[in-house]
Amino acid sequence: MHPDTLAAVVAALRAELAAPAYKGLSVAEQVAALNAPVVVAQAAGYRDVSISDVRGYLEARLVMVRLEDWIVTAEHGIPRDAARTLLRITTGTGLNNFTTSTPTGRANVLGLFALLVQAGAGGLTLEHYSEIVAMTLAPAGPAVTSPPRWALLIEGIGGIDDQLGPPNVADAALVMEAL
Amino acid sequence: MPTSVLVGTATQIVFRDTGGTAFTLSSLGTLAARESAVYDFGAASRYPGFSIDVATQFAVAPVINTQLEIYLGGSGDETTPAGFWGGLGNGDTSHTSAAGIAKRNQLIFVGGPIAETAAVGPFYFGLPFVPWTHRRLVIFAYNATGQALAAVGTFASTVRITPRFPENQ
Repeated sequence: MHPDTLAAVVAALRAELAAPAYKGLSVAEQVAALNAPVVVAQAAGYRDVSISDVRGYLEARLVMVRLEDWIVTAEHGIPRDAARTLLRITTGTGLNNFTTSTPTGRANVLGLFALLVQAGAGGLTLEHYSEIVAMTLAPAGPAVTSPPRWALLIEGIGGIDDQLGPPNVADAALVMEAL
Repeated sequence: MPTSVLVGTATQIVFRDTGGTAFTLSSLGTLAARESAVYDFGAASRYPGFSIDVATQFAVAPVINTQLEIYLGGSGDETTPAGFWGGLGNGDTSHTSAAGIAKRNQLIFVGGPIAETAAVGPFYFGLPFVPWTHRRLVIFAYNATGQALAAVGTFASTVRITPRFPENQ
């Protein structure tokens, strides 16, 4: 390796090894840490829910039919209007999804169900509410594997003329050089 | 009888870790790329093309039918080693960033060894003739297999090119 290439690698390595993650590690452990792929877990998120899925769930729990009966006897007010709105949405054909993937949409949709639970509309219970909330949760994606720190460290450091550039994996000799 | 014009061959040019044009393929990681040092055919000794052969082996058997992709890059600048396609020409260099790996989109894809069986290899690839009239050449390898190449002490992955030209014989 050309001395200029070696100097560039050692300088980059020295900066990398100054990070707290390498403190207290042996040379062999530092080499292993540099060469290990970086695995980042993906957090769970929220997703839109198909209106027909929600309707199917409510029909299966007999909530829909009871909600229709409840509306007939309920007093005029916000809970009754909310129940009518839910029926209109779930039986209409103009909408396909509840937008529960965005904070605003999520607050609106789940707020509607929370209101109906509070009013006891159609026998809607907290258990039903929890299961509808569960339908809006997107499972965590597979963990993403990124290149090892060493690969990022040597990116763009080339060999001079026809001499070799940095090796594809870190070794103890280079780490010792940087310490 | 007319004189036959057959194919002559010049001295083979080797790209690898040691004993050739610098090209560090030893332990090349998965989804990582490497560009070779620049090979200069010279100002007045251009050939119409060359054959190319690649040999590689992996540290661990990769998924079947995955490939070590081989690309060719050159420079249109005839006097100074500059203006390389995809911003190559940095010498023997590693690339793992998205931008670095994307350099291959501006290069010529010629193929590469495919892990056609569940084994570490060795696996081979070749093309009998690649038209090439630029003065300078850079080989770019992208490891799309999911496993690192073998260390040079186990198997020296190598790219060989052999200039070929018409010759009265």
